[in-house]
Amino acid sequence: MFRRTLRAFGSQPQGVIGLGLLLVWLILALSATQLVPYDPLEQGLPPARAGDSPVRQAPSSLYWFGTDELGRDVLSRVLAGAHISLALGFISVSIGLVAGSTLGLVAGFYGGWVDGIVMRAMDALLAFPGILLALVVIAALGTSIQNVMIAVGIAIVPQYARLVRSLCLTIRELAYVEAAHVVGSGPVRLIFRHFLPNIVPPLIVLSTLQIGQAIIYGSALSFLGMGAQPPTPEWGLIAAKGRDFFRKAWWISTFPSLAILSVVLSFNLLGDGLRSLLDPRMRMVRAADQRNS
Amino acid sequence: MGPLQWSFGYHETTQRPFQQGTSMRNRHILATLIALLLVLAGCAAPAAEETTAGDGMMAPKGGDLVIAFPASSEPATLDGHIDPYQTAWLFDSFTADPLVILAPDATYQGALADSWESIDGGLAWTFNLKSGITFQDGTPFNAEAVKYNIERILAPETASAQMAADMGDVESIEVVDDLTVTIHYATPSVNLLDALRRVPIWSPTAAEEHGLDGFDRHLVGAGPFVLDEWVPNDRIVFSRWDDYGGWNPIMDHEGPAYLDSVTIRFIGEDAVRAAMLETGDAHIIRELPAANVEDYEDREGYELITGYQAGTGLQMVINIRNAPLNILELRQALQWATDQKAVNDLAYSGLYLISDGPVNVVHPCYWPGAADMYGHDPARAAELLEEVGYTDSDGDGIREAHGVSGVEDGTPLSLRWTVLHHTEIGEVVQGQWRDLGIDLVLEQVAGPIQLERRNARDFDLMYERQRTPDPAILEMVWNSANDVEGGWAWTGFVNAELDEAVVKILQVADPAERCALAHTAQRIIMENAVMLPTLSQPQFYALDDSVHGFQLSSESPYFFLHNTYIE
Repeated sequence: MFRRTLRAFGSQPQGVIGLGLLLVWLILALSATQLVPYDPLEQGLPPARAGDSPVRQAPSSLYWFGTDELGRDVLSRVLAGAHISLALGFISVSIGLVAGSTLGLVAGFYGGWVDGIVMRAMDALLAFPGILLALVVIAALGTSIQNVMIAVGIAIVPQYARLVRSLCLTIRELAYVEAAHVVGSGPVRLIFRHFLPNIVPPLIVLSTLQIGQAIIYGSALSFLGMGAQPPTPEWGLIAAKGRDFFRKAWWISTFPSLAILSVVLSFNLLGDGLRSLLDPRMRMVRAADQRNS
Repeated sequence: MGPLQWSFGYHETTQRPFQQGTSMRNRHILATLIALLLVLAGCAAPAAEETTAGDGMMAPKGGDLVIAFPASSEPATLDGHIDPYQTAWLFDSFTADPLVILAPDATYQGALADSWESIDGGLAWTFNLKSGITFQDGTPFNAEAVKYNIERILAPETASAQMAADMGDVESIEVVDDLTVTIHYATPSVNLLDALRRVPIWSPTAAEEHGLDGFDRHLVGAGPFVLDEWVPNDRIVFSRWDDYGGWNPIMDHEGPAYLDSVTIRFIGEDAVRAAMLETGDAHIIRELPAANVEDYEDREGYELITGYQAGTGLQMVINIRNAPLNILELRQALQWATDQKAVNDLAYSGLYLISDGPVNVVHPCYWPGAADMYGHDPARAAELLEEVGYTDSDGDGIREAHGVSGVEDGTPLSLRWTVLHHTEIGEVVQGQWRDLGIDLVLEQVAGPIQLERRNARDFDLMYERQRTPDPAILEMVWNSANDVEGGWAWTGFVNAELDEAVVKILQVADPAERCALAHTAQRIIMENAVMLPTLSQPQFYALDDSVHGFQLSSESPYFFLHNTYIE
């Protein structure tokens, strides 16, 4: 079974590429302290060419990604920022996943006025664009990377709640679930035995896609000055600082932006691969394709 | 004779001599007509001076000037009577000449005022006004108009944030005659001219008509330009007032200003604003970022003007109410730990001015002793920190308190640095202090948050910048009586000698004596290390070389467009 699943996943090139890219970033993030060529906070690094300014040095053999506006090594900062962005993605999505799934489960399982209240609250949250909602939360909590994680997590709660609720509505009507109910299974047993196993695969797919989105939100908030504060080597913050020098020092903004792009891409590709693997409709399409071929 | 034939081609005809004679006559007529037109044109625009165009013809001076400003400098209101925005006062000066101006040579000269006199050491000021001046709406300018404007500033309903305070303790305003007005004071006002140079004199008729809320969209003064439109977050457009009489002493010619229009464009991104001369979207860039100075310096086709402004510089005032910043040695350690030159070199390529005290080095009352009081000496800073009781006991690079009065043992030495902008200064200082085991937490906040923090006195080191060459600035920031909500003294520092010195600055008229008092104040402030000097921001203006006659005031945020034209 596991081998078959692995083989099926391996036949999805986008999923494999996404997983590979993500693994590279995970390794880089975990070993950043050993890999960074310079202290990411050290300012005024010696110029590659004698007589030059230490700030805004172009990429060279000494500084592969150049130096930033305060003479710090951009490569070291990008590497040191990897774990911040990845942690931001995972923690934000965990917050959204736990809170949103619980709310969706309660609403979908019980229905009635509970469903009405929960879903109207989710509708109210959905009325705001995610980034705006995150900005509101940040304004209330204050600017810090931890608060960004909370804000982004809150911003994605409604998507989980809606997905889980809709899945629960379908599961609730299934014959075996009704049978379990008739034979006297209580809510806890029903939820953990019959509902949760059925909603996990779609949640995994949504989460992989949401991590990419959360990283973008987090970087955007830092870019706007509402997230990580200096001198944290957060990618959005580095890109924001570099934008004033873009015409003469393109590397300051470009490399952290490429890092954001590649990490988000890796999650999106992985998410697409997992969806092909786990989504029953996609499974049927794949099976039909195989039969035709 | 056959019928008259027309042809656009060339034909050999026997009538050629006749035709040639006709042509010659026509040319004479044409030349006479052109000469006549030129004479008429000269008569029609006597005030417009002319420049020589490429073809040798004379073109009138003028043009549509576009100036790019940072979006952050757009004022909330254009009515300078109400809000204390430097840019509002600057834009007001396009529309309304003040009574006096601060000329480029740093002297006060009469604009709408002809002359003035200070009586009894500033207990009264009499202004003799220029005659024959009308506002842009035809209302005559006179003593009643001056009285109206000062009363409007002082009226509680105007809620003037700074101008009312700058006007001083006004007791009454007396209209002596149509062109003479006397302002009486309860306590002497020695810096009235400095206040009045910023005060736009509005048309009382227009101000009454539009009220406090609507007047900033309908400014009417007696200045060289008329306000056409203000589109918030985008632009302000002024056009030439053709009836301007040129009563401002800055004028180098009679009659109205040269420019046909002036457009102020507010641009949010520094990088975009910095490129606007090259792209042809502006003629002048104000507040060119330091990183872009090299783009226009000594470059053909452009001019770079650098101006400075006296004031406090980008100082960080220290809240000494709470431990550990209530410990003098700790505050002194922060002074020794900071290398301002390195900050300047790293963050601004050395283009800013290094400050070493509560007023910057271009201030007329700067105290040179401040330069010798502290320097960059990390060893001395470390020594002081240890004396206070801060050592790094857990080896994490940050010192912890051990026996520091008012601080629980083991508490890391962490301080907050609260700014509105110029975060890069904090970032460099952060690096310098980290090497000494001090954790500096930067927070960049918006204006309302800063207001909230300072009202709650919830800060460690907070940005505060005041800009004026008047030493009264020290009274504003350091008189402990101003440590009230809405006041500008935030540190909690109380020193009787300092209070006495700064209050006296407001009462003494002699400039030398005022500076001596200011020196005393600066010494006390630095001895007690209640502020951390950083840098002073110069104003960089980049100009297209088509712009002529642009004049910077002796205070760099202000400039005059009275003689400006584009060629």
